[in-house]
Amino acid sequence: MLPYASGQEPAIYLIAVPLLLLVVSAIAQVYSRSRKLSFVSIIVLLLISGSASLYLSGTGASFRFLSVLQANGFGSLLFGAISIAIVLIEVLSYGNTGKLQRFNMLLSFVVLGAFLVAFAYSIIAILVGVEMVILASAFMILQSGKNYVEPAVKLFVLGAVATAVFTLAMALLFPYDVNLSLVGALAAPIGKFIIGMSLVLFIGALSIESAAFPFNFWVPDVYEGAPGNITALLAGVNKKVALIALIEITMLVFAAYSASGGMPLLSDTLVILSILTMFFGNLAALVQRNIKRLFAYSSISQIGYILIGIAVATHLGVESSIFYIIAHMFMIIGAFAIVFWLESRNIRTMDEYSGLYGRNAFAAIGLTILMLSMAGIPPLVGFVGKFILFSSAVYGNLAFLAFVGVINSFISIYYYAKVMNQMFLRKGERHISMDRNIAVVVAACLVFVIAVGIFPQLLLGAASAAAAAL
Amino acid sequence: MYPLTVLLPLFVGGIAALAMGVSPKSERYAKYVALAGALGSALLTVLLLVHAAPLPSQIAWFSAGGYSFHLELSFTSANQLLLLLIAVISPLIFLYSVGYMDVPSEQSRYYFLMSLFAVSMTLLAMSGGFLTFFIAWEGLGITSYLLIGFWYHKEAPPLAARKAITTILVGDICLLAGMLMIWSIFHTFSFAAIISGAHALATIPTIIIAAGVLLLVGAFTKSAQFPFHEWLSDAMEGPTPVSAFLHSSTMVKAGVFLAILLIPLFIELKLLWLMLVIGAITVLVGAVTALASDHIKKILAYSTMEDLGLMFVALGLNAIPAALLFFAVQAIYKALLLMSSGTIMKANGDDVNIYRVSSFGRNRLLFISALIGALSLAGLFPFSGFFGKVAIDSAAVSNVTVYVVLTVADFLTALYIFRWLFVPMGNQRRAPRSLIIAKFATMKRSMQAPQAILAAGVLAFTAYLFINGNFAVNLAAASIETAVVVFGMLAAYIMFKKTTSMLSERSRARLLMHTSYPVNAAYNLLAASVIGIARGAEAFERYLNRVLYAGARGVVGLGSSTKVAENGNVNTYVAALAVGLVIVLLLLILVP
Repeated sequence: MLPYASGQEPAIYLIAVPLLLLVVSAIAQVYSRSRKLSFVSIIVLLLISGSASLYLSGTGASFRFLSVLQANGFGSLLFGAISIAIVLIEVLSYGNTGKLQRFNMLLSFVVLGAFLVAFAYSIIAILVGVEMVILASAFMILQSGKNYVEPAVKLFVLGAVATAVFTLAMALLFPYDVNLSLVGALAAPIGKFIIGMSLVLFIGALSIESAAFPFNFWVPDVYEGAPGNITALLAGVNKKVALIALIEITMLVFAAYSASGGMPLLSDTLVILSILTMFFGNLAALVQRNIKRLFAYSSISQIGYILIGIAVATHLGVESSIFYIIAHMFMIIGAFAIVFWLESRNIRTMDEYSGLYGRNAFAAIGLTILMLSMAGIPPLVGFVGKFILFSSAVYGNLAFLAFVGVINSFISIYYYAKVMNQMFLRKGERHISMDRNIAVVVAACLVFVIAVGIFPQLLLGAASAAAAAL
Repeated sequence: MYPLTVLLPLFVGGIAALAMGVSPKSERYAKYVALAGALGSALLTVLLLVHAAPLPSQIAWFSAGGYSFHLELSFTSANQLLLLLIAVISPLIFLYSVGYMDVPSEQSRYYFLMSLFAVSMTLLAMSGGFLTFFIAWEGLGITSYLLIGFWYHKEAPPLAARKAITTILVGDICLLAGMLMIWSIFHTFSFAAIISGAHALATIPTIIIAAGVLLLVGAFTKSAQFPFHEWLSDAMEGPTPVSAFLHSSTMVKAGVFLAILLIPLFIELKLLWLMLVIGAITVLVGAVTALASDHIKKILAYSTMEDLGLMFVALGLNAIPAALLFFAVQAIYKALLLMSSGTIMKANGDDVNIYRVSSFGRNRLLFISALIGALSLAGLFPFSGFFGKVAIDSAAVSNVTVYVVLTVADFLTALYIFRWLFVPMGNQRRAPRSLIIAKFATMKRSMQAPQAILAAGVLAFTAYLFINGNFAVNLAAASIETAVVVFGMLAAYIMFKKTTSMLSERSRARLLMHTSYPVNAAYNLLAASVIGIARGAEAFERYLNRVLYAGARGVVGLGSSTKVAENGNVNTYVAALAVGLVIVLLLLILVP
């Protein structure tokens, strides 16, 4: 990883400058009246920096800049995906009655946080980035209205605890690596116990934000309590940022530690977390009647699948985790978009979903495709993702983990089928029309789910390069 | 010709049928579009097989971590046979549906699902590797689920659909797990490569044997073998063309088909006994239950189960030609018989009890086709079913237990199928109802024609077997079989035609048989325990919250003094995190 190696540095300015502009303009526009200007500027700037980021990941360049950041295939691919996801969230929120400008300012902090995590060269950058994402989203919930104080406070407190644990983990590491950098850290691991403890604390802190069992208790309450568009942000982006940080820390910071005998600890911890998370999420989802809670539990279980790849820690494992992180981002945003829209029509529980097909066929078919994809039915993107995750587990000598995953993905079909049953196998009464901005988001997610499902190489190639860049 | 083009007409037809659902005006024509699609695909299939002699091929799908994953297609004789069967049966089913499905509002959904099913089935028939096979297999499961629950406004179909999908999901888990385990050893999904890889192994690793068992369990669930068979009879809640297509002649064969494709692997793994045992049990259970049932379609469903059991017995005896022969023969007569029962239901206002319906009126065509089907199913010389059964019987001669089971089943088969035929006719003779007789006389052409064609197909198949029948038949087995079948038919004649039925009273033993009470009770117990675990997980979460809440007040100190606490359980969550961290840290000590 040489600095200034490949001559692609100008691309970084295409990412960073629009991003700074984004933050500055979003702050400035809090005092302006034009919703439209705020909407357009955030989308245009995000698309510029997102596509520059995707371009950068395509070139395979890797270099350091600003002394705490680095660009490589991994970060730029994931930041590109996140910026597209945030564009979708912004489109989703356009119809909201709240003050869009304020929302956008907070959203721009989320973007900045995600950027810091994805391009981090130092653990400090990760800490700051993760913290920014969490704080900004807590305030986003808070400014949505008086009824939302409770989920906002919960998220805030949980974020604070996660930060505390994270900082403790950093402090344990500090004596052995004063730079706290991601690359070349811990070249000579001494004091194995302390370093192991630091690793475990890192995993714990990031599990709080990515909601792995037993750190997931806040998720259903916060997801159910928050407005639907912010729930989509929490499930689609926040969790993924924490997972990106987790991959960076386990694969980079502790690379030398794992190589010198720390691998069993890393892998065992993640395997246990993964199994518990999958089972807990799926089993609890089985008995939910509220659809938002159902998807909250389902997204918990999906984190368990992603952890499989990180636990395996081979090239294939990391590659499939990256693939699934991006795939799930779009699946869950699409699903929560529909849930968000129906929530505004006062349709929340399983019984109220009955006959949705008769009331709005697009929503019912769209939600079905997204759920089938999450359940892992071919030829949708979720199938390819789970398939390579399980393959990586089998090949990484964790065949039982693959088996647990297979069992879980079929448990999940059962509750998805229950929702489908309600939507299709009952008669619907009145037609309800879908808002245009929501239809756009759902359609975009569906295109992704189907296109990448049929031509997985579109994303797999990039994911493979990203995994190789680590 | 590129093999996958075969799928195109069906696919386009299905999508067009769906699109035509937007207005009632165009929905009327959806059936013709779908029928045209089915015909087009059938023609292309025949062209492909006769003209182009397709070769196995691979389509690169994606590559990950240095491995590339392909969609393999292959055209072994088993593949070609299934393709041909689908090509023959699917247009006939679509034609039958044109007459049978006369509810105007549900047309486009029905034809879309049927076309999608036919696409998956054709893909399954072409598959030469696990990846292709699994995709098609999942397609079959989903379309079958949606088609069983097609009459969603009624009480029973959604429940039947749920039962079917739950059972089939067990099979899906086993199939996926099995194929991944096989991949971990051979790094390929191609059937041919896996088989040659298994030949080359000096010792068979345990993981492959486990994988083989899982694959077989997957096959058993899809092909309704004991104890996974109950969904099949419930599946008869779907529309009759669906039962004739999916649940008797094509989809339920998917499991048998998997076993046929991989039979060299199972021989290598010494797993034939498993097929033999499960197959033989299923044959008996199916035959006995078919005799006990009153439901005009469920009798045939249990009979299908018995037939599939016979195929597994043949495979278990390593009599692959016999299995393939029966595979082909059974599809045609069973589709025919289910169409017949659909016709009877239609004329009798959807009544399904054989003790209430009347059959065929003065319509000779319908009667003769049903009779041909029944004779073939019973296995009377010289109908096509005879050849299939005798081939299996001959293979079983060396194994006395199996042979006895098969012979008993032959007798029971003749008995129940003529019960199925005679009892409704007796009802008609005793109390002729002119309205129903008139309905049979004016039965739609589109429903009569497929039955006549399939009956002609049975006869043509019979003639073909006479001319080309160069397979080993044990003459003694053939004569015993014929004698048993004739005896069974005679018994049926005496019991159900001459006199009124002796099996009609609801004795306790019979009730036990035809409701399959023990099997269903076992299912319910299993389902209840899973839901119980799920509720337990939720309760555990709540309980843990409460315990932690109590602890949190003391330990974390966020107690009731802060406003936060009144807003919810944040302090509980924080305490949960603390406990979680402690547990994770304990790992440090436990893991060296």
